[in-house]
Amino acid sequence: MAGKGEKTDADRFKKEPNDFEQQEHTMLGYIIIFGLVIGACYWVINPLLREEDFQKDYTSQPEDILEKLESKKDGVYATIKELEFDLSMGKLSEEDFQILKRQYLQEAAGYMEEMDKLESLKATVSQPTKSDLEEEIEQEPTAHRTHESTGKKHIYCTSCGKRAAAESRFCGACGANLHKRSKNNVQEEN
Amino acid sequence: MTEIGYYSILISLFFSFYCGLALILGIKNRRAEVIASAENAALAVPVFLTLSAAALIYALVTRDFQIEYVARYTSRSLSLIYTLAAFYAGQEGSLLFWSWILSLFTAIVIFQNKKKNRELMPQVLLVLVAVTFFFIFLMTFATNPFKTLNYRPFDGQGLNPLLQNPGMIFHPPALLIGYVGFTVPFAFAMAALITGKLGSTWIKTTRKWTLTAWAFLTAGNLLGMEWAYVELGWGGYWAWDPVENASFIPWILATAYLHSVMIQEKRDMLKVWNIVLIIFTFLMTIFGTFITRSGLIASVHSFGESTLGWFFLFFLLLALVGSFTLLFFRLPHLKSRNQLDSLLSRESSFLINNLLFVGIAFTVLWGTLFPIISEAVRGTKLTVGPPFYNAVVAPVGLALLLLTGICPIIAWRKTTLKKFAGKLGFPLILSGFGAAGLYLYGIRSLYALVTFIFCIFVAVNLFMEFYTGTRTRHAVFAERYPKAFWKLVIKNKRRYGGHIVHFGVVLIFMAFAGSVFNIQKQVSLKKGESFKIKNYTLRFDALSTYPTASKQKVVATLTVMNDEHPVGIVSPEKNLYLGLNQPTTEVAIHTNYKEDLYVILAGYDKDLATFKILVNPLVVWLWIGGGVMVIGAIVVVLPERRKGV
Repeated sequence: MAGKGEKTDADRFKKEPNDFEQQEHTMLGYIIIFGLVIGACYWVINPLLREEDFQKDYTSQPEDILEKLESKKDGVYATIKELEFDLSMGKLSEEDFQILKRQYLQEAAGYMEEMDKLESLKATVSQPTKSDLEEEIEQEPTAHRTHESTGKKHIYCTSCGKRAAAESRFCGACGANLHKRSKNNVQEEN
Repeated sequence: MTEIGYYSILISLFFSFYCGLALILGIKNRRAEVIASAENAALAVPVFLTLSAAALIYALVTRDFQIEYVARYTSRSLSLIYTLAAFYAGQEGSLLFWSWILSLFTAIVIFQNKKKNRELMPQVLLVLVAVTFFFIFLMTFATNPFKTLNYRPFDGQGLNPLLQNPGMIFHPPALLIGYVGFTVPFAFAMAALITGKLGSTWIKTTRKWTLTAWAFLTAGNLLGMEWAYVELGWGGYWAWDPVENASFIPWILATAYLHSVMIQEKRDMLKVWNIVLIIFTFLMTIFGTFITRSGLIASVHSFGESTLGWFFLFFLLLALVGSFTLLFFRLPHLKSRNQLDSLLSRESSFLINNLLFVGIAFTVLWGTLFPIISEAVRGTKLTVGPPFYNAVVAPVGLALLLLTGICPIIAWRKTTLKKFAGKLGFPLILSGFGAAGLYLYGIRSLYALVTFIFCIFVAVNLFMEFYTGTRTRHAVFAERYPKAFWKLVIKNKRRYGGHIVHFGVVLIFMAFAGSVFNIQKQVSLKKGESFKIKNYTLRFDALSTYPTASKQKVVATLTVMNDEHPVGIVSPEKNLYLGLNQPTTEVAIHTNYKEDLYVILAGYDKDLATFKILVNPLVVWLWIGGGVMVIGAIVVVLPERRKGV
């Protein structure tokens, strides 16, 4: 292309002595570039040959949606944290704080409900594919874990929003007493 | 090596073209394997551009003068570090640098989102690869960095002496990385528009990209100011030169964007506004490049006139029309769910902040384009000077500074007037005392006085934020004060990192206000004669001339006394580089925390020398403030540790 045409064979002969070294480097460069091109072509074409491996990739997985809900919920709890700190720094009145906190808790409860729905949906979809043995193994502890009153496998901590097993007394993430609060949580969700 | 470099560019052009094509087909037919193939192609592009960059560096270091670029920007006597810096000294090299960095960023985006944002990624990649393609296309068809000469010169022309300054090593890459970095949030915004997934996901995903790019742009601008200050020798650091403006406008818009995204994240408002801001930030990075390449507007930075400007103009218009068409179609989906709860809320103060930032950006853009507009309308090229910019930017900047102080006191949603007033009391009292003190000290300039008062007010407010926060943690979590302070910052990096950035801003404003008291004098001295400026006495001792490998050096030596205390020797220089007619000036600067003594050797005769001497108060705080801003930005982008209180 531009500027490359001017070089003729005659020019090549006129080169300075140290050009020998440079030519050697150029050869090396050509080998590298050739190898890389072959590698890159293989790398680019390869996925096209493995069509079936990618088909499921395109539709959004329930895990993605779950993750998104999780991050939304975390965001709400982070905001509540900030509000609590604002309150203790005296930037917010107690009254405002309570109003705001209730609003945010409701929002978080909404996300959690959605997540629970999705979880149970996922469970019903994925169950038939599992082998009987696997199912058996999973079922047994589940029976234990299931919350007596709600039939849920897990509950959410009301102070930090992290998920915890239904029978646990304290939140694994923040240490809040779940036993006392889980009742409130259940009430609120209902 | 010429061929290797050029072929690598061609190959990367091919792969980026293939990538774009495969993405379009893959998106249209919903074929994941085609998109995966495109992703791999996008990963191949940086490999070949790296090879190309390596070839250029090899050519520069081995002084392969057959390559025009090497002959134009290096010479045998050029030191290694500036030889490497010559990579981005010229147009072709800087375009290679640009596309190289962009392709690397694209690869990082791909790796970061292997498992995330799968529904956005094809479109994100499409935008990124389209921009990359444009830059590679320019190198292949308009300005090839590996263009060869049909003869081999014995020596190159060498790097412009003004560029042989440590500034050259850091300023251009920092600025370019900043520019390129904004392509990533722009690509995500466009992808959000194309896919209709208009929530805050794209903003959250690109938050760190935006901040990092912003930090680089901040550092780049400040390094440029420092460079201009020590190298150009007119005594200042900012002249509202079109290219300075071109890097200032995206910075201002990005700063506005950094603030306004918080409202979308917290309150789901300002969706359209955020997209518009990021579009314009991106466009302005291209606009800056357009200005430097087109020769349309005269500037110290110009690369000389070239046809390249038209390519950039075309690209700019294409991006403008494309992005706004998309925005227009999605407008119905971008309605906000929330409204402002109260005028006295953090949201509304952010809103005012944004309007002010955009006001500055628009003013500076208008001033920069004014020569073109006036020529088109009235037939004569009129340039607007610093007074125009200062008249608008200074007061608006002060208003922004004031907001920096007020904003943290106001809570989200609403603050009662009583609470607000209660918080305001202490900082106001301190500012009042500060004002009285400064007045008694002898400061009478209204502008400086107002700026200093605002600085005190903001600094006190920021201090109170850290102070009450630490105390609260101490009380609530029973932590010792140092630990409480540390945890306060670490647990809420975004807020307190932001406060650190704002503290840097306060220092910078202080330095700006100091410039009101700049003193400048010109004097001709015979050897042994003394001269007094402010509290400094300078005695002209000697003038020596000697040649070095690349230049003829003329050095004047002056002994400096500060109120009868000797503080040292300053030696301003004039250098005559071989092959250049114009002598360059090497200023001598004596710095302390109060002021800079800035000495320029303006002219010389046998034993008579003319000096331009300036005393610039508080300049050092500009550089310190810049450092603090960058540190604050680093605190904000520090990775989050997962578990926590």
